[in-house]
Amino acid sequence: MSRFGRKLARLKMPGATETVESADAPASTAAPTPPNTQTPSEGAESFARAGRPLGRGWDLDAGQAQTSARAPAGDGIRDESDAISHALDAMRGDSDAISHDSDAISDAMARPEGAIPEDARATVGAQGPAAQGLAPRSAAQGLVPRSAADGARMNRIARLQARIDAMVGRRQNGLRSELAEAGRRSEARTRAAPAGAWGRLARGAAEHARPAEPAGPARDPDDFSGVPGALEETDHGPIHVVSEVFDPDHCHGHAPVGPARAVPAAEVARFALDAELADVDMSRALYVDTETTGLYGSGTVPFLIGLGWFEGEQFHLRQLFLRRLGEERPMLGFLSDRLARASCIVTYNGKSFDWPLLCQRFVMNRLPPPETPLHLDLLHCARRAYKKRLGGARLVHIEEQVLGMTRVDDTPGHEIPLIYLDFVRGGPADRVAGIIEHNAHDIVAMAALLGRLAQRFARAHRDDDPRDLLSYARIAARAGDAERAAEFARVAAERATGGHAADAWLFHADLARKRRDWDTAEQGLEAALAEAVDDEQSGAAHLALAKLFEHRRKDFDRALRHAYHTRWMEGSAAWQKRIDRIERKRARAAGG
Amino acid sequence: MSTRTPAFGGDRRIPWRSPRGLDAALAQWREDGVWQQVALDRTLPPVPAREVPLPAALSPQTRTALAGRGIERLYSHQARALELAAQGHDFVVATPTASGKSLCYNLPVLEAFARSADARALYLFPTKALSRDQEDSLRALLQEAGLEHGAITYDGDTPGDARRAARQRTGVLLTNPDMLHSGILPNHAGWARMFGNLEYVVIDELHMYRGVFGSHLANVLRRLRRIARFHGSDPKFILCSATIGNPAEHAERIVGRPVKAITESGAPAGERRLIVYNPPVVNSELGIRASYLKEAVRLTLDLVRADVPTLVFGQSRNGVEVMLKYLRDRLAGDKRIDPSSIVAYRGGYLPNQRRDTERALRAGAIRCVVATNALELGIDIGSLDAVVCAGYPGTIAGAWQRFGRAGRRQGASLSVLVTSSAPLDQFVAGSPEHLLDGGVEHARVDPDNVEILIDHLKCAAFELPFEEDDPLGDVPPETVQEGLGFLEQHRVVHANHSTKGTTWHWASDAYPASAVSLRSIGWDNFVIIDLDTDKNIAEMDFRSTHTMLHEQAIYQHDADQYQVERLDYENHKAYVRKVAPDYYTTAETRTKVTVIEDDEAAHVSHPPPPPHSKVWTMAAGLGEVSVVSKVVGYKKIKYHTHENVGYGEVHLPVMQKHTTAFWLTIPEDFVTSLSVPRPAVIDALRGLLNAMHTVAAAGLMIDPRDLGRTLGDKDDPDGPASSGGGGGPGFDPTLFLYDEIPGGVGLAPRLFDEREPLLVRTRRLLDNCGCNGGCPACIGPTVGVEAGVRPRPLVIGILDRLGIR
Repeated sequence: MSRFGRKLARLKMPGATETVESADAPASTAAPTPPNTQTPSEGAESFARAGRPLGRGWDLDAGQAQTSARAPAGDGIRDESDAISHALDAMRGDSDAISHDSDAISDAMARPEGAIPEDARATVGAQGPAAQGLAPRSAAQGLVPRSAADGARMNRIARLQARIDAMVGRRQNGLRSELAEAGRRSEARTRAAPAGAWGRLARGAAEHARPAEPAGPARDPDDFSGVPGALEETDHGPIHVVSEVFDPDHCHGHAPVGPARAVPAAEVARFALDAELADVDMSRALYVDTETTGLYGSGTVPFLIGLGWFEGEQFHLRQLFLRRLGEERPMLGFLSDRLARASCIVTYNGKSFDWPLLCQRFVMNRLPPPETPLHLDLLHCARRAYKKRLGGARLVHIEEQVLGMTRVDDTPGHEIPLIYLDFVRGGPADRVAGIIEHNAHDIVAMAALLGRLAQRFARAHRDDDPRDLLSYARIAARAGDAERAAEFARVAAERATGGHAADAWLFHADLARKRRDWDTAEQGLEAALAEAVDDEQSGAAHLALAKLFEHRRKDFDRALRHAYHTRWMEGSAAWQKRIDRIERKRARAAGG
Repeated sequence: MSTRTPAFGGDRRIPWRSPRGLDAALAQWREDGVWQQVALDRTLPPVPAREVPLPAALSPQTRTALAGRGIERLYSHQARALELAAQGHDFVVATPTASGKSLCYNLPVLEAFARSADARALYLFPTKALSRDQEDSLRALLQEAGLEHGAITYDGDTPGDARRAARQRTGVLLTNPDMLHSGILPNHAGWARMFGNLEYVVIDELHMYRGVFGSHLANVLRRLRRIARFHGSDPKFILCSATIGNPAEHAERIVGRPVKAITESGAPAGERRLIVYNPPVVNSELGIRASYLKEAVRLTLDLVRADVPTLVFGQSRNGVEVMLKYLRDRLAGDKRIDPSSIVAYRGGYLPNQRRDTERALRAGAIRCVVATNALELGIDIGSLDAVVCAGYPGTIAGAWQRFGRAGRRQGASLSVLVTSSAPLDQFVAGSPEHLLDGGVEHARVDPDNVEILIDHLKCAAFELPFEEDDPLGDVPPETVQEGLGFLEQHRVVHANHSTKGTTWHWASDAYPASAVSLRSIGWDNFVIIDLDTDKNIAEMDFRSTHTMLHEQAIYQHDADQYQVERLDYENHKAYVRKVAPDYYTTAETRTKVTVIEDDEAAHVSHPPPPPHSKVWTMAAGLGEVSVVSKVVGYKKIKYHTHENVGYGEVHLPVMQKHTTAFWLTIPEDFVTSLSVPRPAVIDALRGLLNAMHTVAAAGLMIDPRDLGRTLGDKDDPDGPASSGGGGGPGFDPTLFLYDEIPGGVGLAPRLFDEREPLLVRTRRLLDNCGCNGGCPACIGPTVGVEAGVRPRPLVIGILDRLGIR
């Protein structure tokens, strides 16, 4: 073995504990107690003891650099902190591992003098950072614990919070349950890490120490019989393809996939707020969704490229599966072909995730990247339409609440990368089948959702949830369709209850104002006032009414009456200006 | 014909400036008796400029830009840079400060841009501040040349749209190694346009990339070259370094292939006078001299009063504050001088602040600047007539970097080094000609440190799959394969075997770059939290935490002291509280070193001077060792008197690592041949080791804490212990100097190569120390000293017998 190989062999596995014969109680010898220049006031004996020989093989290194040295070089550490924050900004990696049971550690720290517990002998070895996925520590929270165990818990909570904050703040994708992944990782570490072991490295060990054997029955890595679909010879080479065809009345939940084919492009352009889509032939749209081994970077591979398109009335699903890493080219070639034939692509969060990643894969395989097509990203549409009601826009959520579809035994997103990587090493094929099914659902869901959105957006349906209607109203308004916006707003306002009613009336009134329909505006604002549930809403109504009466109706008395309620909203200075101005006008009108 | 640069802004018209200012101050010193303490007074003659006309082949755009700055001729080294660049060489420019180094890289880049609209360049700076600084002047230069290529800094502060522009369009990308490592390289597919057209990679401040940081950078560059090749480019490297002893060798290690060196500067220099001033001894018992800070201030005052603009360097922020205060206080009474014309220069300066200071200096409104590190001054604050260094910066290279701030292109200048009582300083005071011909220190790195290499191999595998026979920069394919095998074992990469060969793919859901810090091995920093303010005040690396942040330790931060009340080991936090003790603490570490593999061996043998006759042979060695250490207690040492005032126990786990070491074995027979009790000899050897450690750290340009030392027995890991232990057969005392960084970063090999000069310099250090029997500074705190035996003379006696003089 080469020298490098020998060094590799000695390279510590994180978490490997190596107990070293710690110095036992110093063997007493005939050595005289070294005289000191001064007799220490306390601990004299200990000091003298330390001066004596300490057991075989040990050398007392009595001259460690005094602690008066400055903190680690200013520029370096400052820039390292900067660098760390840059690195964190540049990436969306995990932050700190969540510590597990540190009570044992705290106990170990509060030990009686002289005793060092077994687990504390664990060696913190040369292997520092080899543990993957462990990002640098973010700045400490500076909490002051009341006790060691309390401190540990506080730290755990604080770090988890910081981690959540960081993820929520930085996440662009919005999908791929990272929190669940965090939970999974922490769980994995808790399971795998030896009890009472020293934090970081033990956690690192859990990262490294994945089971040597893949979970489930071993599989010959070249045996793909358990994977749905089959190897097809295409113009671009062999591709493992899973195919399925759906009739137009196939329903995802209660929404059929068929209507997506005939969705009018002008409508799409409106609710997508993208004028470029106005002339697109939606019947030739290509639906795209990928499953990948990670979230970003040149080492992340989309191992499943799911494609959907209409042929005639039917919806064709083709999922391209990567049997072995490095065999992407045929898949990319096939994708290129379909892209060339498509009028646009439809994705869910594809603008931030799938499309950039696919472009990277072309580069990585030395293929010219395809031209960026027209792109309908349903995530943004769904968010605008349904966030008000649902709080978020994750596809699974939308599926359930808008399409009425509940998946059974779905493979959670955060498990997907590991299942595939396991598979590549000989893991079971059945879990991969689960991923393929998950992906199929995603694509069909997109078609169903598109059809559903178009249908609901076409005109105001009285049976729609008023919150949705109000969202549609806002979208229509932004798209410049004032008439439809007004209709949505009116129906929303009539049907809304609780706090939403006032919101709807306010919006309805605002739209009326914009088209100079003062009567409708006034009615709407009065209704909003009546339905207002908080100061914000009533304040907004009062303010709008004050303006309306002042500028349009020239009814200064009523204007003033409403203006008196807006002080807290506008701030004293602006409010005073308004009052003064209205009073001036009133005086002028009266005096002549 | 003179050249002007914007920083100097042309001829100066300041009424009070005249050569007599400097002479007046010097004359005053002769009168005052300052000269008694002067250890060196050397005058370096003026150096005329060596200029050449602009090369004929220079593009019109570059000519325009140069003409705009009034540059009609180039210095010889700038012209040479253009020449080497045109020939397609990698090269390093190692000329002194303020010699116009930036044109050495900007001109070749301008030329490349003039040739091709798509050409790109990547500039690396070690800090954000430096890259931001360069950005503005570079943009101006590009505009003056009429080129469309822009320049953008890409770091954590860059906003989103600028990032997009950086990827798509910009000509020059300025960034730092950390961002390159974790932000750009792992996402290189999004940077295809840049990597496909990359012509130059410029690395400034090369001397800063040593030790761990440098070893990491070398690997980042290996990855960079690999990725550039993938996208179809083969960029050339242009490196700039301050004066170090081995610019070409260092550059070659960093870049991984042969590098040409430009070391002769064509820039002119006025006459320079170098004075080394050693404050008088005031306490011979302990070897304490008059405060070097106060002496430095005194000399500065003389200069300021003589209207000589002066730059004063302190070793720490605290030192700077103190000197500033003294200066202002003393000048408070002087009506001629406005105390606000004495300013300090600290870290965290802002660019506009710096420009204000520059302007004020030119206008004569500032008479004195007090600063810490030479680097803090960034690129150009201009030069001053005099530089006073309060305390020796630790290396010759560092000293000359500071001295280089003195002197205009014409006119005389003065550099004064005021030495402190620290042993290195006294070493210089004792042999001051070392500053001129001692040999500038070497920068050391070890890019093949196993830990570091494996980490970057992981990153590289993430970036691009490996095929058989793929090297990684200068790492040969066989080694790469071994590494990949290791990674495959740990389920990080997966090998695909096919008829076309084997490829290794990244096969994990983690992102390796986020777990690798370029400035350490291990993310295991501890955070230091002030209990009174709940704020983090600093971070400390894992190893130092054991010795400096154990509970009850006194931790020094800038000028303040804190006591460590609690060390939360598991969570890597140290809780401290401000205190004002009259003692400091030093940790006691038990260290055991075991040799795992010998790489080299040699003998050190010299005939001793009379009356000794026997020639002794020491065995020197270099190789890999296992170091096990444990901090077991600490001592409380009183300030100034160095009395021992207490002791405490420390309970921390054992640390173990593999690293490289240099060792020197003294034959047991030698020890017994001395007519001094064995324990005393062993302690003397320990003192010798401490002195060697000091000299070694200086010679390697490293923080002494990065080099470990211990006295042990090479062959028998269970050999008898040190003081008081009974001897046994086969016990040969061995002095170990080992790299504290696991795996080593090139320190031990250098020590092995330079073992002879090391011993000679150690002897010189001991000879020059002003103390009587040995002080904490030269041979270290003495333990186990028997009454009547003074260690320092004993150490010197030992060296005599071994023939080291």
